Amino acid sequence: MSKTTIVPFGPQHPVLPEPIHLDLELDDERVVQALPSIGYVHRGLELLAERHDFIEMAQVAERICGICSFIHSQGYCQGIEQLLGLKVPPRAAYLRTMWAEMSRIQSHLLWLGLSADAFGFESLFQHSWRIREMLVDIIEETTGGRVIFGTCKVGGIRKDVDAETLQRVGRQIREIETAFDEVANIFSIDHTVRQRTVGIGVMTAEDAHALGAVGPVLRASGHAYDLRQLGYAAYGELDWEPVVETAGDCYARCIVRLREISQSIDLIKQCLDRMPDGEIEVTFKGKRPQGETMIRLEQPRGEVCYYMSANGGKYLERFRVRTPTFANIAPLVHMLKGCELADVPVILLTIDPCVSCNER
Amino acid sequence: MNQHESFEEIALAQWVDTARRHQAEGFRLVQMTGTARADYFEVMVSFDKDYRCVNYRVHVPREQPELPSLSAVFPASFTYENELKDLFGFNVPGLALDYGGNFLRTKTKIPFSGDVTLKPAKSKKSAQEEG
Amino acid sequence: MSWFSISALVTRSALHRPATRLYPVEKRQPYAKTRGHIAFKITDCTFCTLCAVKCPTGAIVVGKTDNTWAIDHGRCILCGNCVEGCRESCITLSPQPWHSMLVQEVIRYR
Repeated sequence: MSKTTIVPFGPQHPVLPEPIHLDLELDDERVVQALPSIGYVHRGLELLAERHDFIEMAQVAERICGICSFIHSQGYCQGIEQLLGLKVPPRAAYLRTMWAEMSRIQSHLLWLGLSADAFGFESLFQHSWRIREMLVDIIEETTGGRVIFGTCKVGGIRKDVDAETLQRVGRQIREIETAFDEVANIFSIDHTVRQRTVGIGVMTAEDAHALGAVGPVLRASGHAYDLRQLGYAAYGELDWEPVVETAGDCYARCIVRLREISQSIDLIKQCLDRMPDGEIEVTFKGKRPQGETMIRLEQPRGEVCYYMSANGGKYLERFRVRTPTFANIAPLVHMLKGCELADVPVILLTIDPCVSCNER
Repeated sequence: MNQHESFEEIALAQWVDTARRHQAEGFRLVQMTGTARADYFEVMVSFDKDYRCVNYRVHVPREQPELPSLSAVFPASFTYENELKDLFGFNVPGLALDYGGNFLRTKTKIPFSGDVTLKPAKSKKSAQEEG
Repeated sequence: MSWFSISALVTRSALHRPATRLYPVEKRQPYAKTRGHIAFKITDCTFCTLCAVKCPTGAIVVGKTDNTWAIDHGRCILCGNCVEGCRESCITLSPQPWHSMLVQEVIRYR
């Protein structure tokens, strides 16, 4: 039996946006087995529910992660609204949908840059982040913050956006679309990109289902499963279909995310066209949450589950978040078996790890 | 949008059989959560198929925190069971990939079992200490 | 000919003016809604301590007996709870961001 070497990958590595550790057992440049080890940014955020009352906790939930922050606060607010029996007004639902899609686009553009950096394509990295700056400026203009939006609260949203700003947003989204289409075209036909991603890290449809993969990892292996079809917020009233690819390799996962950006731009345009007028919040003076609930949303990285349990007091009894990266660790371990050492960063980044969500 | 999903209580002896039954029908493992209640641990597991989610709850006594592993049925459950081990101090016989309590690197071991208390709320000491 | 599209993009961006700003000569103007820093007027304050109670990080410290109000800009996360809670409207959220701090800064009013 030949001897194997163990090479530690991470927690500091140039391609990793956040610290995660993998112990790679190598047999002369081919990976035999990979063991992940997490916990570098574990902050115990779930215990903070005992310290901040349920209204303030929306702001703590927002700060679980910097990239996917808005959808965390949206999920938390939806859970509390279900426990209190509130129904959000339609204008708030449409604005939340618009901001959630903007959050999805900026997350995928960030991922596109990091993934290009992982196989050394630095100029594509900088061009996609240049486009992301245009989007983050729109987000700052409508919400007040570039990364942490601060707009979602229990019962609706905090501040309204006037019609003139929405028209400006519509014009800038079209500019972003033109700029993005060029970059997406380069990414999908470039020879270097295809050499590094086609045929690498293949996961069949049965494996994806058995291992519990979520998000674009699952959709790139042929399953058309997108939790926005549950119809929360305004998704039930918009026209869209889940994006599916069948190849199951790294290239398919990249193409799924690129097509999702175009789909999100289209969803934002639909929201802007159909934006209803009216109230932006519903009040609930004196009510306290009671019971338990499980809410599932679609984050840019996949399916996120929120479990909330309350007993009528000011503080929640249990607040649990199961983020999509945590569910994608098992498929990652499966995909890394048998690949070459140089492919490890590429595979790791195609599952889009958001490690601060992973460990809360 | 209201997502009403069922929460059912099962006995510890039915834990593996329920999982096996769902896996045969094509369900997918979604998550496993542990909660430290006053006098017992509660573990909740969720299975999903076609956007419908079913949740099962089991009570585990605090004196004997043992949970049979689902690794034979769902290979992906090793991450959730290792996390339960690290945060609550469970004992999970039969785990496929057992980290032995080192999956999550935390400063205090077993932080969520209720023995670790938080510091007093909103310590305003440092703002007041400035004079 | 797959190299053609990236060459077109690179050539165009090389001939175009830079996409970055020449900071610190050119500073970025924030939008009207940007959450920059907390501004406070002591003249209308009744010291009801509602802002200190609502602050999630404990950045605001109000002394009821000696009529002082202090904010630690390093702890403030710009959530806006104090702005919404103040009944006299003496706390506002100004769009200009606070400057970078080398030491902890606590601004005190009496």
